[in-house]
Amino acid sequence: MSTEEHVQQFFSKQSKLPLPADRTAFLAFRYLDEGLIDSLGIIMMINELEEKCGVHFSAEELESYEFQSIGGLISVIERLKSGAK
Amino acid sequence: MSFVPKDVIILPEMAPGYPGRWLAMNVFTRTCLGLSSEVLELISHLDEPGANTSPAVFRCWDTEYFSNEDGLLEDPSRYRRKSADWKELSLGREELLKKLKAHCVIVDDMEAYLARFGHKRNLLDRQRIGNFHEQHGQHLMLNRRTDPASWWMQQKFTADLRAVHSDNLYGAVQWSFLEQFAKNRIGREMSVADIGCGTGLFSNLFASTGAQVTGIDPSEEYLAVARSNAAAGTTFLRANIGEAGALASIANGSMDIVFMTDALLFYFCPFYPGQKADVHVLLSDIRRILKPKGRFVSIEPHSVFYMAPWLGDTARPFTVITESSNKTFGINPPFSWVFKSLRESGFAVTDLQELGPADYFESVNPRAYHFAKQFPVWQFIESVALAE
Repeated sequence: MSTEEHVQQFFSKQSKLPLPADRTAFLAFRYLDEGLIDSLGIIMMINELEEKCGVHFSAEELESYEFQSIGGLISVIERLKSGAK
Repeated sequence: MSFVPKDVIILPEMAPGYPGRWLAMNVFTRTCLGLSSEVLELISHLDEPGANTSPAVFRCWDTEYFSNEDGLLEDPSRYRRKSADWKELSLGREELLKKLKAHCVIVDDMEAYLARFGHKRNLLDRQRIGNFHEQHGQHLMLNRRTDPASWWMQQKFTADLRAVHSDNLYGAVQWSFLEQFAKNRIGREMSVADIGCGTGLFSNLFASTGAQVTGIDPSEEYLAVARSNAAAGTTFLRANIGEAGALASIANGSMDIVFMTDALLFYFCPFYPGQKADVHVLLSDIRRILKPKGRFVSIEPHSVFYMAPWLGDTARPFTVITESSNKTFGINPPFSWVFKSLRESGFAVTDLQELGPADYFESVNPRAYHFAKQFPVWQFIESVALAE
């Protein structure tokens, strides 16, 4: 399963709101600002994506601007995965 | 144009073998950076372009950390005390300016800077400074990957939740005071309600005098510990404290004393944005279950000094107070808020004590002892229910 599919799966399962159907809008979606998940959801997201994608987010990555959109989140994971190789 | 906001103080941090060190602390953002004399010189002339660009490399020190991770009641000053623990950096001018901005020692835009003082919008919000609870929760969850709720309990109680730590201020101040309070003020034939009893340690202490004690808490997990460790004369009940009717199972006018500790503050400065906590609902319930002339006693974080930075020499501390009635960082209500709520709920305040540490604690933690002796960390408020 690709990183994007893992992320999509997580949000489909946990989102409190409907996800944008359009892929571009989905990737640009700022899931925290839009209230897609709450603090508990953030913790679940971090744990699940770290486990399924085999990465570890640093505090700096978690608090970065990039991390706050779905596309940015995917980019961070992809970068960590490629760096781990 | 970058400038040093007036929220920054500069403290001397020279020590034998470590000369020329200064600490720049933004007392509002609770951020700091160790500075050398050449950096001080640079930031003194930020408004003079082209001036003071030498030396090419500036020394500064990373010394900031979330010092409350050492303990909730440990030094909240956010910097490492030991000079040897300061991490020296040699930075070019631009790198240094970036570093100074990251620690809010200098800012570019006052309006944008001031806009940062507000509640964090979510766990990952780094832009807003947030209050202590928000900062604390964010730090523990993201940096330590620790559940704040379990960490919190470990600050006050031992790992088995059956004793109060004697090596921190909880034991040195709260437990020491309550031992004397129980001995002097609680006795046989008295009925006591311990609201927010947790694992029942204070309930057991009060019951040791022969009193009948009802411990009440919303957590079944804590109540299970309380029941397994219950002293004679105690009863434990589950209730969603603070909700209307939460104490309905307790008869009107049945208690001589209602006790709470470290709980009222959450009714004034919510633990999380949107938390519904009405102090009048709580106080109305407490008043109902008190006997005529019954006493409500509460130990709460001090209205002024709780989480104030521990500055100065160990034996001659000082602090900086940045706020009182307009809370952005603090989570401790001013005296006037607490007294007003008590008055509006039919209570008259009969005693106020600022609690200091027991003498034994001076050798355990001298800095904590001297600070808490000079600037109390908790206050004891006793009030009596007035007749209708």
